Amino acid sequence: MNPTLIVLEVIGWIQAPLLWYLFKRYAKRNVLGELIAGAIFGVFFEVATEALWDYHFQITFYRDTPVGVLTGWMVMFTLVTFISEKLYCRVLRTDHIAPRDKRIFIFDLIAGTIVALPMETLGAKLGVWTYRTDLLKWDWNHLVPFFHMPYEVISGYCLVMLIAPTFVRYWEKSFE
Amino acid sequence: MKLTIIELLMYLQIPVVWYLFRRYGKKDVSGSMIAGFLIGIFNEFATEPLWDYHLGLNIYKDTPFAILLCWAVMFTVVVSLSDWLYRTVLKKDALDPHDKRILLFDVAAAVVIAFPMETLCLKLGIWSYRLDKLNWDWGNIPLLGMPWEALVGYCLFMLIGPSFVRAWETQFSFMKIGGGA
Repeated sequence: MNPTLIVLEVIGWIQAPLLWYLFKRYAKRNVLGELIAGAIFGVFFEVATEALWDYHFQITFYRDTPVGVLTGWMVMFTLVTFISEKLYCRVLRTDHIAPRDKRIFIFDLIAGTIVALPMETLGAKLGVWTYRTDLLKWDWNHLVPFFHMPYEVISGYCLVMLIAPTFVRYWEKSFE
Repeated sequence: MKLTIIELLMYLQIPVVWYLFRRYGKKDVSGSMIAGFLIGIFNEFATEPLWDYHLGLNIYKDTPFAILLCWAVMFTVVVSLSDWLYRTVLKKDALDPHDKRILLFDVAAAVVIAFPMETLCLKLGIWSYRLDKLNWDWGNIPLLGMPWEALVGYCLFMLIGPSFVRAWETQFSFMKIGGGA
């Protein structure tokens, strides 16, 4: 087995508890709820789209979908909601998110792009997964500059970021 | 011809369902419908290669606009049924929006509402599963003849979608009356 993938899979296993510890230690914030909500969304998404990607890790929970990828969703949504809230507060000069303020969608999209696109690019380029392009039939025929990723990927992430951060925020306190 | 009539009905269901909720439930569900519509866009874009649709007016590849309207209606009905089940079973006057038990009722409502809708539409030929791509191998549900994976997928989806609807239904509502957790 590719040693790079072994290292990445180990990182996949430790990234969620490590992130939890770092937030607890340096931000005085318990992100357990965000991590759990992110995991639930990740399970849904991976089961729904399982056929469209091939994963190359060893320890899997559904067909070839690895636990190490599920923890990626956990980390991603924790970071996205955190950065989105920071951006919201900074840009709108406030100290908290106003409940039901639709402007949060804009910040979720920005934070989603900042966090998710590099994570997705890294995972794909390092061989953690491959796109089943024979099934996906992506045909926009343009790549995102610098990242060299299909625009369909970033569009999909934008749509994910319209939905999932709300789910995370909705349940983060209850799941802690 | 049959599919043309069905597609027309799929467009009509939006004002009909909205009116029925307004008339008999004293509730404006336009916000729930918009939230459900957004979830539908996400889901259809993410899973587009896995189904073939057979309607006329499409918005992305072979995905019909009418399917998004179905998601709008489905989430509206699922959330309403789930809320009602929650209040009835737990003998409460109102929904505590952050009570984790609501997730159980969301899944129950999915089984009662969403999955029969899925079965009906599949049997009517509105769409077909790309089983050659899905490679589902858990077998079929007795009597319904539907793949178990479809039911599990719906249950997982209904863990996510209704929370989004509840979070935004009031804000998305045109009329700001009733509804809203």
